[in-house]
Amino acid sequence: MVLNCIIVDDEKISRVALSALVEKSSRLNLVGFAENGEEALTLTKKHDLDLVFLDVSMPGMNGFEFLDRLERRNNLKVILSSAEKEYALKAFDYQITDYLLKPVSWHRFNQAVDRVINTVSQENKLGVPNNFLLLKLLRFMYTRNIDVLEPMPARDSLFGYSYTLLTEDLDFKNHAHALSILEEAEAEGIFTGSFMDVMYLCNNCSNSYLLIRENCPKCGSSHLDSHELIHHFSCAYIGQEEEFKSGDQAEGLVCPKCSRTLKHIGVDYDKPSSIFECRNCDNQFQEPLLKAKCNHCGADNHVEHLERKVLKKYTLTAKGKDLAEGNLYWQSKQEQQEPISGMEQSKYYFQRVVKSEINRKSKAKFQSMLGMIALVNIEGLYQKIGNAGKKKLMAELFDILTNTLSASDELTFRDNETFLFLFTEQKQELAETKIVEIVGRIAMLLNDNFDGYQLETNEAVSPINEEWSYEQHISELAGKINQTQNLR
Amino acid sequence: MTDFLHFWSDKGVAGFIGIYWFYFMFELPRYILLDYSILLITWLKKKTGWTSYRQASQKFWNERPFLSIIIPGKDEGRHYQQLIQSLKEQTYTNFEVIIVDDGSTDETPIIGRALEKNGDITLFLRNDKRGGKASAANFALSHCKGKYIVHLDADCSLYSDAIEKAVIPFYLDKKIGAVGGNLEVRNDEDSLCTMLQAIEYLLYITVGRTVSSSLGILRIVSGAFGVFRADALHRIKGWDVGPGLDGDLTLKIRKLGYKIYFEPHAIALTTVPKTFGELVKQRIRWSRSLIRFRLRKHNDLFKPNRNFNLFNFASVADNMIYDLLLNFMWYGYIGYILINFSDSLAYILITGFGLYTFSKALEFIVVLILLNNRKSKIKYIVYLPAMVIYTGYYIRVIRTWAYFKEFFFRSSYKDPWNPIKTSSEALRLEKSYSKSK
Repeated sequence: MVLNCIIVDDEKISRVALSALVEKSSRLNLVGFAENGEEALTLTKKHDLDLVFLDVSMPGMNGFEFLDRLERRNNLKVILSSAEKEYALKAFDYQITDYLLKPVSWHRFNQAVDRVINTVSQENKLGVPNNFLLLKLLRFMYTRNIDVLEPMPARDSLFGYSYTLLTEDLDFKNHAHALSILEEAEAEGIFTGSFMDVMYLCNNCSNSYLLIRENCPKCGSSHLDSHELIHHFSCAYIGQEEEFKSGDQAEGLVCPKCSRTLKHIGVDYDKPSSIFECRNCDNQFQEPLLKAKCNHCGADNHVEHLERKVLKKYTLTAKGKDLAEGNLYWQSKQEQQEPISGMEQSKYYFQRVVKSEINRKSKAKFQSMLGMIALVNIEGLYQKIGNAGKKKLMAELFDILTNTLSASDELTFRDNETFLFLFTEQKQELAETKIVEIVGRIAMLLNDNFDGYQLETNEAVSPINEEWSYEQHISELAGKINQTQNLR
Repeated sequence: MTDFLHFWSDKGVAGFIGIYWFYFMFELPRYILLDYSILLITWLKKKTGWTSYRQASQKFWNERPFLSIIIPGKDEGRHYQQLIQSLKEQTYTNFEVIIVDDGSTDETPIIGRALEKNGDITLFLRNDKRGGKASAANFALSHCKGKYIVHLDADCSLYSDAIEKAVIPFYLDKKIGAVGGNLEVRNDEDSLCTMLQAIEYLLYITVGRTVSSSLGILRIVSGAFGVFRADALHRIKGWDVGPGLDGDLTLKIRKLGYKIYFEPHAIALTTVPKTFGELVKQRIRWSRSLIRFRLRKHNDLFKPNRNFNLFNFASVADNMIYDLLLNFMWYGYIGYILINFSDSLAYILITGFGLYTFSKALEFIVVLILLNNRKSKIKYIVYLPAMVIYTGYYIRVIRTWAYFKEFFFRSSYKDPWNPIKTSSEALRLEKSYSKSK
């Protein structure tokens, strides 16, 4: 954890001394200095700060006045520094994290930073919404002797049910979050869930208000007619019911093949099936494409791609009660690790490694290659599987590719559709074969998991050039990819 | 041995022919002499008329007609993959594929829907209630958009040029209404039974139908692989209730004034029954249809009214004489031999066996001359003696049994091959037709 901090002190010598300590510490990032309270206030407005080193006695606005003037302290931590001890009690009232006596020793300074980091991480754990909401729910249930949390049908809930205490604290569009909090809590043994029902939700926004209708598999139109078919036994003719209707109503059904009047269903004819006819493209078919249009976000989901959720009622366990009493501590896994954020980190790391390769290249003789793979038609697939599916798929791709690459190679996402690779100390041919291999892996994975999906890709490889910046390298690769795209 | 030679030297040539008169009077002219003369004529035609085939082919490729391939059947899902694959590998590709599932009770609908979804076939239709093969074919017919309609059995697969070869004949002659494709046995190596059937298919389908086709009396386009003019099929509104609906349909097309053509080089492979027991069931079904359709339903072909057509008459007459009449006469012939030559029966049987084997060999040579892939057929030669027993006795007895049952009990209307509802209704319909005639 790295904390953003500022130093507020009117004496230059103190500022320099403190800044030397801050810069020595790997856990602090110095954002700026202020010579007085006013300047400090502007800095706090401008930056997202975690920590202030604050001098107490300053001309004009002193340290405590500065703290009074702060509109919202949020999670801003304060370490007071002063040459005198007399403010210690007052500092306690202001919930100051630590109090440093000038001159500050390195050891004492580190202790203070430790203390800040400890409190911040404690607060983070309690502060994240999942934990907060769950804890609130647990405490409510525990104190009111409610053992079972039951979902109630609710038209105004995103997924059609409300878990009263949870959904009320969430925005409409975040209602489905309640489900994942409860699922996770069940996995952790805080609740035991018992099955109530299954529901299918929009794979883009988890809405349950879906408009399901048949579509033409050829043109996608939902403007369809359905016809019953009649099979006349004696002459084996099969046709739509309309064909059997003659102009004369009294005559009943007449076979267009053998011109005989049909007598009775089940005796000389039956209705073996029905068929759809598209009013838009005249296509006839029996198996329509079922699609569910989301009434909230408008996404037109293929029904087989809807998000399936199990609706449960939850009973509080002993562990849950312990948690409510505060005897136990628990942290939501979902917020510990977001798969995308792992990939986000790889972006910075990748950039740093490539930059160092460029630097190394100007000093040593070797060849390293950069590669790029663009998944041309993946957008359609993303649309099909929705946001949640997309995140999962990207994380899975990232994992598989990381395992495929050798340890010295690097990989990152440029965006949702493009991968970047660094092949260190390798010839162009080798890098090209590796790229082809990777494309094969991705195509296989997608084909195995999504029926009939054929991946199209564009690839480019280029050597690292010591005279170019990182950005130049990437734009050159992107240029190459665009060229091949245009050639098609 | 000397007795044997003495016996025959006493008889002389006249006596020999006298004993085997059944063969020399009926079978030799129909199967050997006719085959060879037709072979000669086709050969001459090819020498002089090859250009017309090339022109037809040219016309076909210029027009590139759209075809509809229909595959009706029940519980055939496991065969689809092989057939669809062979369709994908065709030299001619401008066609749609429609599969009809006639109330299958296995996993066929799942397989079919998957093929449809993947775009491997154009349309998969299913009747939840079974209606029989004719109704399934008619269901497909009502969705066909092609100029020609190819009817396939699901357990077939095609040679890669089969579709092309089967459609070109329509461009030889405008009067051709249907083209029959050739059938060969895929599982010939499975058992003696399938091996014999493989030879039987070569003799009776490849050669037999080529001959009938040249004479203009071809009476059947097999449902396993047949191509029809769509307009003709639509005019007669498709298939009637089977069994034997292929033959029935062919006759109806003939009655419209169209010619029927057989193309030996358009080849489909089919799987035949593996055991003699299964084979009996299949053949009884086939044989019964002769009585039902030729004798009962289409007996107007024999009447010299204004619709009378000599070729249609000859087609049915040939069928009636050789498959029905002679079948019964043969028993008379056996009785004649038993009574007159009871003491030298062994000699006659042995010589007869030799005579028929020689005759089969002569027939088989026609196969080898006619086909392009003759090398793969040579292995069959050693089985020719067994063919004498197979066609001479086995098939004959099955046929007789089937004819009897159909004559006296109309048993084809009770065949589980059709649902009861269609059979009983079809019977009522046909009875009412014969009353009105």
